[in-house]
Amino acid sequence: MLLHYLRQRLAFAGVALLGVVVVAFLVAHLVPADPLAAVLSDIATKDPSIRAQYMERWGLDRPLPEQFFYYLKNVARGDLGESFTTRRPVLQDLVQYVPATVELSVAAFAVSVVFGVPLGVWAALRHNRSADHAARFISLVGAASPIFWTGLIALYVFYYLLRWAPGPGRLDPHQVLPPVVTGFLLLDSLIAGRVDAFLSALGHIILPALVLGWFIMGLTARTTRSALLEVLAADYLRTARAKGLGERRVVGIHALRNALIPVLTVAGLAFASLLSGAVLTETVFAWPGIGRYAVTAATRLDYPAILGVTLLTGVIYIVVNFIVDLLYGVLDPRIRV
Amino acid sequence: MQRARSPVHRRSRLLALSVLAVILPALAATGFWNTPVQGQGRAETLIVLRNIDDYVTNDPSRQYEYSAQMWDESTYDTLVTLEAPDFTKIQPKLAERWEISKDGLTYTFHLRGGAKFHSGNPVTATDVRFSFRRLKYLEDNPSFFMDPVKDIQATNDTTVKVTLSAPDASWLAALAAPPTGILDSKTVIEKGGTDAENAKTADKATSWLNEHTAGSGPYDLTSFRRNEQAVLERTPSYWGAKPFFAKIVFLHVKDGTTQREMAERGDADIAQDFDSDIVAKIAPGARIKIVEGLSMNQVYMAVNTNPQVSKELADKRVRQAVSYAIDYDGIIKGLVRDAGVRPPAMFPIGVLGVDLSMARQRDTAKAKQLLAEAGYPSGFSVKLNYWTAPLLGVPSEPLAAKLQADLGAVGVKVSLEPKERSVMITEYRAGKPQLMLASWSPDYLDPHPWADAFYRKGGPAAHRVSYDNPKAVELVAAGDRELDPAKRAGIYKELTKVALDDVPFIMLIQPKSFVGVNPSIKGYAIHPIWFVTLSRLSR
Repeated sequence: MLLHYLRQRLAFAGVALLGVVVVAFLVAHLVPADPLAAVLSDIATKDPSIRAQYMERWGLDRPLPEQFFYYLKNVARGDLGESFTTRRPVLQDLVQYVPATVELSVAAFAVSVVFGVPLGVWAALRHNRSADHAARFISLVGAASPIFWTGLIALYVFYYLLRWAPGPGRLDPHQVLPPVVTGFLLLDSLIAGRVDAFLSALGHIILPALVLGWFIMGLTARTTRSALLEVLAADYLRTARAKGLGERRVVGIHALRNALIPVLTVAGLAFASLLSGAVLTETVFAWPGIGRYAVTAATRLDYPAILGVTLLTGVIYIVVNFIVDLLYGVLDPRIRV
Repeated sequence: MQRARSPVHRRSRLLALSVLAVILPALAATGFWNTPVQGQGRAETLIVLRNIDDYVTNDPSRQYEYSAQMWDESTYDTLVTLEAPDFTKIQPKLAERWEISKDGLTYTFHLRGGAKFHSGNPVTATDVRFSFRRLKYLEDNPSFFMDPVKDIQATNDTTVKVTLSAPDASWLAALAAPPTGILDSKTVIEKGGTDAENAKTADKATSWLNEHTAGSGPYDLTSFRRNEQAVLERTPSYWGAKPFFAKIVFLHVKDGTTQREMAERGDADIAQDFDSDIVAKIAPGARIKIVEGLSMNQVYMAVNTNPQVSKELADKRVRQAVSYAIDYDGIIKGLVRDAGVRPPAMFPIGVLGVDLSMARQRDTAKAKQLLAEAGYPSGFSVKLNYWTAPLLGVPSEPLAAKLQADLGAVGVKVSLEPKERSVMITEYRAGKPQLMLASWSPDYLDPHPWADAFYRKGGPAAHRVSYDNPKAVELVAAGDRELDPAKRAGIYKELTKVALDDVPFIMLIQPKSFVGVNPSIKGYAIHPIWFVTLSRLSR
């Protein structure tokens, strides 16, 4: 049963990914621009032999369907091609930039869940009272403020004025970066036995994680609140109370468990969007992640890099959705069958 | 039904919250994450903030980006150099002296003895020959530096003889540019490099050169992470004067405001991506000094002379009318708030032969008269293209709107056509736009690259507006042949006159550069090619 379910999900995932790649490939190639214009200087672009060399190197001299076919064939072998701008394998680029983004996203996600769910519960329990309004206001401001702005303000207040937080970047500029093992700085510094680097990295991630986390915390809190409100009115809770269960048990176990299903969906999507879209936070906090790489790729029409990022984003969404589906089963035994 | 909550419960929660609220800032204030400086002292470490996402490669013979120019200048030595304040005076570097034959075809360089690469190998004539040939045969972005070269011979260990195919008075200045830096041929060959004619496919040294150096410069690139940081460390065996800073860390910080805050807080010594808006926001009394210098960049408007693109603009009188209609002073004073200057033609202030008094001034009556003479007394319609990203720090939208208003005042109806940069650049290179806002950065510090690009028929910029005037072509060639600087200056002035008559391009702004520097840093002078000579800085 489970195997059948898995197989079905994987097949869907494959079709979805292929669709994503086709669309990305076509859109990128439909832009009426010369991809070499961004790579070659004004003088070199005039030289036909340099142009020909670049066209050949990236297969741009072949017809479009053929290019697409070759791309798919290479992807199947795990080769995402070579980026025009960085001139190295796209896979290598992704492997370098993804850990920083994942590290930040996980921290931000933790912030959003740790603060967002209790805030939502609190608001639901004090429905329409001042605490509810306050909670809604906090989450609304978080979700509605442009993240670029929040980031700049947070940096200004907590770094520039108060000096509570360290400056931008992943590590203090005087620290030597630990050797790359996993790419996750928090882990790598521990592996290298560098407690100083670990503390510095930890200090550096707090502010961007709070900024990014606040943004999606609003979403988590509001979903928790509305889901819980709905559940709190349900008959089975009245039964639970009638049986004499304490309010803490009623809310904490019976109500919250059911209310968490929509929260999980929303949080899963939010996490995927964190991974693929922390562009602005990465700019403000000088965070060397995938967001910046994606933007540079897009503005320079770097086809292999654009397709690589698109593919990665597709995979992230599919994996996260898959995990969310599995977690549904844990929360609600009815879904397991 | 709501149940009453015990006041104790509520109070304990409040207490927990307030404890948290006190502890977190306290922890931060004690600075548990502001760990002490490691290794070399803070005083000997220089921290530079810069947007380094333009990076493609550190291989000097392949790079043609901004950041790599600066790193390569400090890690590879060139034969000659050009330094502030006089960028017309060529100074010796690896070559202690040189002779140029009377016909301007043969250059003989005498290398200084004792210079060593980071590997310990001595710098020899063979390395110069290898580096120049590799640069030429890689056929990559900066290969044009070797276009004039016909033959290179190493006569002995310290003498190199270069023969050009035609006299080129600008070639010596080109040898100050970082892409012409000298590589350690033994190391590069070991890492898969070659200077053979098939180098463009056979050379495999670039990936090694991206993360290491094979130069003889005052610094060595010891750590490099794309979009994160680059670390240069002082070379102990450097042949020249010992630089002050033992270590230079470049941090990738893209946002200018973030750069300003870090510099103001003293967390960084130098912030390189300031513009006039950021400079205006620096807090009074902040410990930050602004170093101002002239870039050799151009923000200009291209005016297409091709009748198939615009029959009106193909008439010289109409192009002149456009150039008389523009409120140049309004652009410099109002739009960029004096953060720029304006030379008469495409040659920037700072190279030979630029005479500011020749600059065209606004004259709307003359513009209207020229339009009437050309048969358009009530004006005509034209499209102005530009890309939406700023042009070397100058916001393009307000500039386009200003030009629209200025031209509108003499009856020329301008419609604005903004597009994404990569699309726009493609159209511009294909010669399609009627009017186009664009920018240019220097290749090396001699009038030649500008003359060749903008005024020679078929030059990289000239072909985009189909500019073709045999007189201009002749003057460009004359400027290349003439070895006497005074006579050369005269030739370029003559060329400026021709350009002001033909108006294929209208020079608008030569922007100033701004760098935020900690007051403790001495010796910062803006360099138009590699931004700053790092080895000249001290604290």
